[in-house]
Amino acid sequence: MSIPREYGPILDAVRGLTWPARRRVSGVHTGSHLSRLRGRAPELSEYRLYRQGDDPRQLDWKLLARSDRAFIRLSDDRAVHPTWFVIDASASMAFPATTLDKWRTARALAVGLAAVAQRSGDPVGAVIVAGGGNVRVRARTRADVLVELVAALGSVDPAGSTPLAPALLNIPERARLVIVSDLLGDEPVLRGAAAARAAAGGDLHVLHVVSAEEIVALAALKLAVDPEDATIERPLDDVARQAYRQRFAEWRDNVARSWRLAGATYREVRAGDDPALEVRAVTAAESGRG
Amino acid sequence: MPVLASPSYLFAALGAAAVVVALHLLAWRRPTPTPFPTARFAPPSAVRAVSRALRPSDLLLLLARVVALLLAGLALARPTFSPAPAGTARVLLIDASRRVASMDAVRDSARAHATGADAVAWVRVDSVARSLADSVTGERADARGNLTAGLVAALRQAQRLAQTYAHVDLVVISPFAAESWDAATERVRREWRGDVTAVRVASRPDSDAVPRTHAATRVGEHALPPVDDPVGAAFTVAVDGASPALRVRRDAPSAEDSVWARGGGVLVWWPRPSQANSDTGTVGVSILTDGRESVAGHFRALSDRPITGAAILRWSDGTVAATEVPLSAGCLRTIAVEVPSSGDEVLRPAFTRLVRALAAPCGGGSSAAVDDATLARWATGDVRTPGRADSSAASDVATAAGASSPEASRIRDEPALPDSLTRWLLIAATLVLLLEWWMRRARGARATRDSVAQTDRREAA
Repeated sequence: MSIPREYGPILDAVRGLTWPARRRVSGVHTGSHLSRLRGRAPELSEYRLYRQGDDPRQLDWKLLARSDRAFIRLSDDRAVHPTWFVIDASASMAFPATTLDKWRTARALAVGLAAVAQRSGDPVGAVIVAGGGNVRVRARTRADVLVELVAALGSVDPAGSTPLAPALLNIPERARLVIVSDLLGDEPVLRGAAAARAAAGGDLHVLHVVSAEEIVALAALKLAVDPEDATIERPLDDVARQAYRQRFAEWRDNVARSWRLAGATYREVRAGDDPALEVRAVTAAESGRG
Repeated sequence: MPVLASPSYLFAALGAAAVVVALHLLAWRRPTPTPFPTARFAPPSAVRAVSRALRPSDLLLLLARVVALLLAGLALARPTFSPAPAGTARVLLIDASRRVASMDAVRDSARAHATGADAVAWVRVDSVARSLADSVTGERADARGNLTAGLVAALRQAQRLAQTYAHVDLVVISPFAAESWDAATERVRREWRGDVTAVRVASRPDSDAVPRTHAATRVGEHALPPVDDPVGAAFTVAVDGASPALRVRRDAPSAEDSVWARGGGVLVWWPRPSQANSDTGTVGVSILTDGRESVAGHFRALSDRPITGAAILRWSDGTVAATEVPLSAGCLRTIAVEVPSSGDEVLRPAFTRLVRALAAPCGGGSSAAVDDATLARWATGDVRTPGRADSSAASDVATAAGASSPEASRIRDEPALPDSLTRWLLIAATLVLLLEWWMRRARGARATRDSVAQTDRREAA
């Protein structure tokens, strides 16, 4: 099975990018991220006086011979950083109905960032939350995990209104968590659960997918119906449209502020924009921080 | 060719139909719902919006409503498909009252006017009016004539004939005695657009002893106001021993007066002028006339004018100044004239003759006739005020009526009863309305089913 052509541009665009962790990771397996552990890496980091219990193999015998003092050699370990994607495939992501730009953008972002993480040697896993049931991709470092992820994304049609927060329960706590969603579902609950993970030291990234049509609410739209709740029907005239724009902008500002306060790296992504640029922006921010 | 009796109803229905069409073009519609994930951020409001359409919605429903309106309007407009009226009909009103000198003369005149008409309707009137089946008019009645009643009956016949004939002429054959004539005669005349051919026949003079209504007239019982009252002075001068039993009251007659009058007396109630009597219509020199006698003087009309009874005295402008109401064998005469309290106008011969006439036996009437000028105006429809003149010699004067114009022969009021076509149109309109109701109900049920199905589909999705 191969990767569909639609992902070719994004995979090419993210080639060579790195996505360092925001903090030292606690992984055991050797990887590309700074580990919280210090030990046997060949690069010397510092000396420290020997304390009872230290591994005698780390003693610098030459320095002991010269100075008659026991020092041990410390070095920075590198570890892998598991990266998990939670991808919203609810009915609201199937918008606009003709192009499905939100869903296409979400898929491209997930694949692009997964490719960056996988090429850094990190395990990549995903949970696609859809109305017909969640689709889970196990976290692995093998190259074919991308193929598996793409296949899982292709098997899902956005529908229903399944909450995202329960999907976080089966994701390792210290893994890097990337949420790709329009946040129109259980956003407060999801934020609460994600904030707990961030407080525990996990990386948290939120990619808020917003359609340009949602921002402007075109004049041709006369009666808006929420695809996830048919009871929400709103007629839109000029006055109502103006009020809508104001309220939607305020909501987006509040959401961005709330997620950032929760310790997340929040980014609003316009559906239909070049996803490669967004991937670069996400990874570059982390690189600069590192 | 259908003729609409009230086309305004049809025009109103057309206007209403136009409004209905406009409402179908400008209707509250439910906009097409569009999935929009962020719909929750729009303010909630009623989910409907007015919109204009180039083509009306619900064509069948619109058609049913318009058809129902037009049918109802057409029914109310009362269309008729009667054939076009043609020919000439004539209504002969024959006076057979006590004032007719000779019924043979009346019959001869009637036959003469009946010739040449395609149809003739005969109406006889004495104190009451009767439609006759043929020209057998019968003998003269010993009753005071009532031209008004006869005219009403004649107009009814003319109305019936006007539905069939193009022209309807109205011929009145009568001596036109003043006692048969009243204000209503003129009002009823106005209901007839065209001219009236008035044929005057000889009048029966008083010398032929027109029988009094009340044979038990008493003589010599006079109860008059004191002579210092101008009315009392006038009656004192006017009445003599041959005058009938007479009571003249300046205040409202009592029950005893009424009982007395029913025994055959003449009760005259000549009210005193009240302080509030300020009728400015009869200031200066006024003329009173009872058809035979006229008197000019400084008289004023009392504000409380008599309204019941036959007029026995009139002002020069035709308004009633005194009336007579029969009371069994007697009568009550009400005089609404204020006479001057100073001077000798009430003692002058002309006024004395007038008062003597007012003291005459009840029901006597007079042989006075409506004058020719008044009759001519009345016949041509130019009815203003009736004048009266002595007509001592009965003459067979036919007041020219001329040829009636086509419009003149028409009756103003068309029959109001709906014919069978109107009924059927109303029934059809009702049926179409029932159909419209059924269509609306079916459409509502279909919309409900669609809504439920849509909800099910959404829930299933």
